[in-house]
Amino acid sequence: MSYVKGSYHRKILAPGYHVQSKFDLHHLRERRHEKARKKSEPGLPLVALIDIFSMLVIFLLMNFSASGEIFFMSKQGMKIPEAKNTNPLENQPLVTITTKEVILVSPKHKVYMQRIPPTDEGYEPLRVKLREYKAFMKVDPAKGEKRKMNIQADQKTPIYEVKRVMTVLITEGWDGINFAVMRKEAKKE
Amino acid sequence: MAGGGGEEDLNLVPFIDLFSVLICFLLMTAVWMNVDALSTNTSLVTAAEDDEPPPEEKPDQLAVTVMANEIQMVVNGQVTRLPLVIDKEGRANVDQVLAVLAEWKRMFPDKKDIQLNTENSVMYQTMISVFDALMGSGWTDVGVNTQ
Repeated sequence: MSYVKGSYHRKILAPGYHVQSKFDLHHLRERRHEKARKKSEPGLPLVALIDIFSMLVIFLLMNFSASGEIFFMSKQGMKIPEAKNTNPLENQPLVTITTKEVILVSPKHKVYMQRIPPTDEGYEPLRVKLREYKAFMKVDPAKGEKRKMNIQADQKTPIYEVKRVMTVLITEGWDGINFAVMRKEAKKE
Repeated sequence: MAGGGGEEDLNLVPFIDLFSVLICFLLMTAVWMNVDALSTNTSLVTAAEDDEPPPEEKPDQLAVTVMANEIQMVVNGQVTRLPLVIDKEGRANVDQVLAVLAEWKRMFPDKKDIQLNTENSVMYQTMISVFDALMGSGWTDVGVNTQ
């Protein structure tokens, strides 16, 4: 630093690299250089990946359902009917009526399958199986409890076949029959 | 970081591992179809094998019968016949049925039980369409006749 000649009172200082050395933030400068050096390194943006994963997990958790695992209509190529004014389906034994067979599924029992018989007498093996199931299901009618069964059938099944199975169920003491349907959202008015 | 001086990044790899496992589990257990139920009242149901004679007709007994090409709606012996229009999937057009049901609801606001009869040749989806219309109109005690 040097004084400019020709002036007695004024002290004009020639500017240097910094105004004063105490404002030289050399640590900051070093960090900036370090950051710039890091930027040049190619890396996978993991934070964005985690964001996507978090959103996926939240979406899947919202759609998670612990029930409905015994329904296997996709394997049978079955399309169950649609309805709007439905109730939640309870996890109860299920009778599936396909074009050729009647399948009885219960969470605690083995799957039972029989061909659709030409006459009602042919449903005797199904009746025997239902009686076996009945012995395991403790229901108290005094408390208003019902012995429940879900029925699923293809939407194009003749109702006659469904009614035959329903008759078997009712005469064997299954008094809570639910039809499994696909929930169709009601139009907003 | 206080006192540390060095910068330490959060290790994101375990997070990614955890999320990957969670996503695989949730995708495998996901139920994509919304399966619900329509419940029938078996106290109103008549099993085909019952030999008992049918009970005497009550004055306010309501019944809907789905025939092959029409829907009959019976209240106090008065029959209303509506044409049955179905699509190729078997879904019935129930607009006219809903109109009659709304009228019935005005006549019997406290009544909830109704009987649903079907002809044997009717498709399952057609019966469910009418059942759905009954439930939506406030007739929650639907008995499906199995005769």
